[in-house]
Amino acid sequence: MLDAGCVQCHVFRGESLPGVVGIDLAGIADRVQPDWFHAFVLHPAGLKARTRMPTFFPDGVSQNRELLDGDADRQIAAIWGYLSDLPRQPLPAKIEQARGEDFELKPTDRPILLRTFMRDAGPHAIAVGFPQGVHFAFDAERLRLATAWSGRFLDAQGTWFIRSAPPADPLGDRAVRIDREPPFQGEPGTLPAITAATADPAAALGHFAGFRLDDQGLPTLLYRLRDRQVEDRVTPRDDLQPPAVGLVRRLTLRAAERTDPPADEMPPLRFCLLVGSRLEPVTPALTPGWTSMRNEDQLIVSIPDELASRASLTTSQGQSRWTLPVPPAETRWELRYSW
Amino acid sequence: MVTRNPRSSRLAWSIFATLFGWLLGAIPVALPVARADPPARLGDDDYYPIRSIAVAAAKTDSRAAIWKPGQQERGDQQPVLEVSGLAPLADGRLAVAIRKGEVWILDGVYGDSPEAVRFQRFATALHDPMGLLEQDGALLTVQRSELTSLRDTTGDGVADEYLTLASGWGLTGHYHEYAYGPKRDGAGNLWLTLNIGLGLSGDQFDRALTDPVLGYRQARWRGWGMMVRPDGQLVAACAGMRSPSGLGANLAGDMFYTDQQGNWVPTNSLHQLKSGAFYHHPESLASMTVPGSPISGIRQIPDGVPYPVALRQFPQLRPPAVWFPYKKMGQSATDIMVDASDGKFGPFAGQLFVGEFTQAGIQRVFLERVGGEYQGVCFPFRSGFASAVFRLAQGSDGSLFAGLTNRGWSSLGTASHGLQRLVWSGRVPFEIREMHARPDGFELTFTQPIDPAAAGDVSAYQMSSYTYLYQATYGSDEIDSRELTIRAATVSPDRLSVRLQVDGLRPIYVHQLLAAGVRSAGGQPLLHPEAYYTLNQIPVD
Repeated sequence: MLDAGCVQCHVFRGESLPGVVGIDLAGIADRVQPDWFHAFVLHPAGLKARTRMPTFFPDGVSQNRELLDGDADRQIAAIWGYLSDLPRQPLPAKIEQARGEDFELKPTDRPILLRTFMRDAGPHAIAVGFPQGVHFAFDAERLRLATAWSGRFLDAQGTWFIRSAPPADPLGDRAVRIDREPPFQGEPGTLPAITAATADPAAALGHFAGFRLDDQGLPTLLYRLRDRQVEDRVTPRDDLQPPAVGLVRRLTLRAAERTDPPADEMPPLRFCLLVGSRLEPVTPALTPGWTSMRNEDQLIVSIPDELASRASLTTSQGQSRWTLPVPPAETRWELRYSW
Repeated sequence: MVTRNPRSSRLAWSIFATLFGWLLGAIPVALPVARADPPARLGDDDYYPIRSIAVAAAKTDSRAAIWKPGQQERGDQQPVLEVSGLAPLADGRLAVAIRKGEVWILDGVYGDSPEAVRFQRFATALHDPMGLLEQDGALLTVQRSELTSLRDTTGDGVADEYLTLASGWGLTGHYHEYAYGPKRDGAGNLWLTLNIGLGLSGDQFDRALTDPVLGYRQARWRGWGMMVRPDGQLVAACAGMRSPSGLGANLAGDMFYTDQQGNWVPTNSLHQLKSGAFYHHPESLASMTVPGSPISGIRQIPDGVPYPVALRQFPQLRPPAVWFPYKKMGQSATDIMVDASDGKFGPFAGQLFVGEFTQAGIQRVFLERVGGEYQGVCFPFRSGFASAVFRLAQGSDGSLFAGLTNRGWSSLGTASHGLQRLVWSGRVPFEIREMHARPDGFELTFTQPIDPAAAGDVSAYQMSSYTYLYQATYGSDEIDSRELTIRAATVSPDRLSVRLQVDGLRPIYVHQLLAAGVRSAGGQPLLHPEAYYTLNQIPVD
């Protein structure tokens, strides 16, 4: 009822749609009697000449036939009930929506970063939103590019305002999981899997080391895996035709000075390009000189043919993995994602 | 529980003193100090005025349902100063971390015109940063999951390098898992403290550890004090914290933390951070068997017993250096700041100042070592800030920056957040400067010479002692209270101190003093006549 009329003019507990002029309805039940309220709402001008309050019940008839059988008396009583309890009631939906937009992060000229709790990317999430309308969330606990999506970026209300700090949810659409598991692993099956129950993935795998921002504000994520320093730079692709969207990921692996436990006591590292219950090569080639693989989420990963010649496809326990060995020398890879 | 309003008790005393003066004038007998005309009573504002640098317009700005981040409207020019970290910089600027996850650099904070303060955003995207420290040209902050170094490598005044200096403690995603710090001790170690998650649920347990004997479940090192050594190694030092929102070193370089009343914490407390110590909250023992834990072998936790009994039953339990009796000395202790100004901040050089969230104030602490351990006394110091005092830092001129935010909880004051500065006016308030334990009582020293007749009269003092229950339920009443007899009050020849001989001192108990009858040589009563000494040990000589 309130969204149909009241919110167009009135303030609720200090909250309102843009440009409203009416009084705040908080505390109205302390200022007027219920029978006066009923009579006024039913026929405003009848009680107050020249009032700007319009009637929503012309000739005493409700315009809303759906709620409470269209009974004007019961509808007004319901409005009174809501307003009497306004401090404990949720705000009208239209106002809540307007409020949410105040917290929406909208990248315009530069990327926006937010470290927060997220459902898919976990409690160490780093969400990165781009003006191009493609965004991702990195899981800095398990060192994986967790999710990506397109459209609107993120609502920061839970992070910035709500005491219980609920996970931040992507606002856009076409979300896709990228690294469902930490992508740097030993030979399949030779390293303990990093699962949700792994209390200290840093000890088992590696640890996040921060990020650098370039002069455009684009982040390069840094992490440490065994005896390697990794730079992971993910940016929007600009070579796709809508509705396809995608990201390009540039990984640089360098030797680090220290390693614990010694790297030669561990199985060789591999990088998992794509995981899924069904992986299939994309033919013909999307781009000459590039090899592409698609999973059941319709996520496509493309790598140069030369690199693909070293990749292998394995299947274990219903999950297929397209993986690359990590060479000992300094390595630079470019991966292209699209979905 | 009886609570005393210091303001009303001071008022009562000034009325009493005035009546007493009239009485003396009416009776023609020669008394040693006849003050027919007591000097005008000065208040907190006369000694330590509060200057606002930036304060929210409304009391409900950030915690009410109507709060908005606000930055859009203000065009990125001025942040919402919900202060969660303060770092005075060597060049006279002030770095401020805010709850929203940003760091701002403020210029012009020592001036008297708030309009002249300039704001520049230095860093963004931090996950609840709860501290700020300048070190080697970088700003360090503790986020929920890591200790981070923020550095501007290009010289444009904005951080472009966010490097993780330490991580590895657990985070299940529970909102209460805040991480605080860093603060630097005298040996160059950086300290941080980790809140307990209060009531984990659902998939939060996926990231929790379980102690095999006690069964407590928390994420790794939750409820612990952690130390990052100069070589970068993260070390778990001590356990049992509940909500350790404040850290700070004294002039000797020893590090302390405050805890907040709640389950297992009878009232707010101040503790020295020491390797192997256990303080309050047993859920932190979920990490007891993690490699690197300096605590082991705890198989049973006493519950619902008087604190002195708990200490006997639980050998790892360390009593706090200071208890802050609830409501009398605040309701939620926060940051710790040592007065390192050598007198520029008044007569309390070397003492600790402790922020108070709910009552929007600051307490003062004097510590001494007895039997090798710190113990001491807290005094009311200053109230009347615009919002919850969450962060404290001393500026280069000795003044004290108070970072305010009551986000998520509530506080006294006129605003939801802001930044204020407490300045010493140069007037010396008449206060108990120090309170020392003695084998047979206490010795008080004062900031001004005392009137020997008033201070030498045992009826000028009232003392009682009490302790608390160590228990899983929220907080504790004061228990086992006893009024103590003051046998003698002996004023020193220099009239700057008095020795109190007290019957029935009880170790571990809080000894509460009200020195309402003490007068300065100039006839002033104490600005704050209350003192609360935590007598863990009675000195033997």
